[in-house]
Amino acid sequence: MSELQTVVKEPLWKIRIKLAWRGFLKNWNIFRQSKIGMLGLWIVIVFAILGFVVYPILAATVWRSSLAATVSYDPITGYDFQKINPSHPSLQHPLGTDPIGRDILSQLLYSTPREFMLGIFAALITVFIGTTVGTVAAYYGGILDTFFMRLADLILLFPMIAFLIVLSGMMKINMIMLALIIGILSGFGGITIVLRSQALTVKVKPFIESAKVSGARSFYIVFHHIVPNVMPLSFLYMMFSVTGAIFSEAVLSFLGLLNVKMSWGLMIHTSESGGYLLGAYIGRYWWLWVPAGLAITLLCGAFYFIGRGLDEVVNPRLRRR
Amino acid sequence: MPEFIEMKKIDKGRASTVGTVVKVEHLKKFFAVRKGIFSREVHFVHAVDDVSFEIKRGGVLALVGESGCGKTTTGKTLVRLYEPTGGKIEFLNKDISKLRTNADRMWFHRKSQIIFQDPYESLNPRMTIFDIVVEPMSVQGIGNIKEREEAVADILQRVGIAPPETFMWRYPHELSGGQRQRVAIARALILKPEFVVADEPTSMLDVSIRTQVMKLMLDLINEMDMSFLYITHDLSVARYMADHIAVLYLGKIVEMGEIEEVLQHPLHPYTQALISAVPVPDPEFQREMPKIKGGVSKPIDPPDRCRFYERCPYAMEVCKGTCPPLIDVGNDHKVACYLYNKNG
Repeated sequence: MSELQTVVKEPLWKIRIKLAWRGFLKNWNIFRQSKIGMLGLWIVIVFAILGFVVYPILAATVWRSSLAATVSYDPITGYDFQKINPSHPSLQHPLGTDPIGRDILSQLLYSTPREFMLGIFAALITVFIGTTVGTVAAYYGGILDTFFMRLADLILLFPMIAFLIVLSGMMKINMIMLALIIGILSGFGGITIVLRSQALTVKVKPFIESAKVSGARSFYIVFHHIVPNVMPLSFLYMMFSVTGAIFSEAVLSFLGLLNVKMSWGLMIHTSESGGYLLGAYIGRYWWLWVPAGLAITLLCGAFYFIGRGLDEVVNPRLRRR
Repeated sequence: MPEFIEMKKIDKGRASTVGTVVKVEHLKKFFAVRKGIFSREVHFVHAVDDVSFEIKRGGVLALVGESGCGKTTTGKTLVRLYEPTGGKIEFLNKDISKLRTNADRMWFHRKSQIIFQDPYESLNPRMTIFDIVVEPMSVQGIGNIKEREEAVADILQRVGIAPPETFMWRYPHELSGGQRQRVAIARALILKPEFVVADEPTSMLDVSIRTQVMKLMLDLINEMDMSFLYITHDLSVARYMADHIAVLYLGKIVEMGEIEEVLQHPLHPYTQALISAVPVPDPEFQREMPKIKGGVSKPIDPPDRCRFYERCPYAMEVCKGTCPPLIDVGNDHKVACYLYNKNG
């Protein structure tokens, strides 16, 4: 028995980190094969660098504003006294200025981290609620199951944007609250149905019965056996809900219903409410809406592409051999 | 096969110790089925219908029968995966058909375990071998991390997964079928249970590995002095593993007793047919046509008569009346057939 004392040479946490790393590498190698997934990942990385690294540097150096200056690059209170606003893209303003003289590029970069935060925060809430509700409904069944499934049907049919518009009339909604509302609403929506169906296939596996015979409680079974087995799928759905959250934010701030200082949707709202997007003007003042519109499309698309790439990791049948 | 016979003899010495571990009395398990969506009429599948047997300490009872006769249901009811509809299960002289307190529940689950048929489905694919094997300990809250590691390494070595440290941190899909079943056995035995239900543990394995795994289980039964309920449809496996046998037909035991006695002198027409269907390794062998006719009927709301009535070549008027009881014909050999109930 003495040699058994030294069987495990490393502490457990070290082994677990190694295992997680090995699993990550394996999945990464599958994900890497997917061109669309890699494209999405690169777009997200570029946006992240622009928003989290490039903007703070630019704001601290080139775009530093002083009281005496005739130009300010502040995304919210900026101005340019030397130009007729909105002005064309130029060397001073690579993407031009908006109707009240604020630099478009600075607005775009300033909003990027906020969009990220919103998307990911909302998606995390969605996935947390969706996974918990879906697995619990699948495991316990009965009235609980029926209740949450009918609730999900209801939310699927629910006109989310219209609801948010009504809600914004009743209270001031900022980014964090928007993330919470979107996260909670979509958390009880379609994701629960998908995760429940996945959990139902896991629930009948013999290893669940083995755990029961060892005396495991339902809570233990749900969170130690069922959740880890549906986790890849919920991670996949997280990517899709990021897209949904960013998109909803864009729609609402375009309509001017959100209590935010600056966002991509709000950029388009500013120019739209100034009358610069009417009729033929939409082509003449293209720099007012193209950057923000493109950014929304690209970031939404990028998270969706990542989701498609992850789909191949989660779903071995989609992989090319 | 002289070695085979000899080995069996050595192994058969174990059931000498007296003391009943599991005693089942009139166990019933019905499943409700509904015919049609709107029908309020409820029918019952009599999966296990009035089954009684007992398993002694260190003994192995083989439960044989064809598919759908209630073998697995019996096994699962015994480890409380199903709530029995009726009857009594006594485990170490304690009625476990109704476990009230949490302490009782944990006590029973600590001392009973199950091994499943399919090693590809019975191990969680997202857990490492260590996590799978240690699970009963962590669920029961036994030992600290150090003790658990040692226990896992010890049991893995005993089931022939060696060296344990190279296998502990692998995932089930990195193991072969035989190794997986060994892991499943290790998982079941880590708490040194008194009673294990083995639900056809070797039927999914290659023939080459099957004997190894069966030998391993026999060795462990001897070492750890456990009682097994060994569910199988293969009479040769039953003969190798078990010391007692119970033949199940549509939820009822038709014949039971000491295994050699039953296999050498089968009394019930169904047991006789089962034994005559065992393959013989002789191409010239001419099989006697089985005397029974028809197929297995459905055990949904069966009428109160011998379950084997429709197929029995010796069916008599009395068989239509009531279910034949199990009658002791001597040598602890029991059979449920009116053919042997001359005075009844």
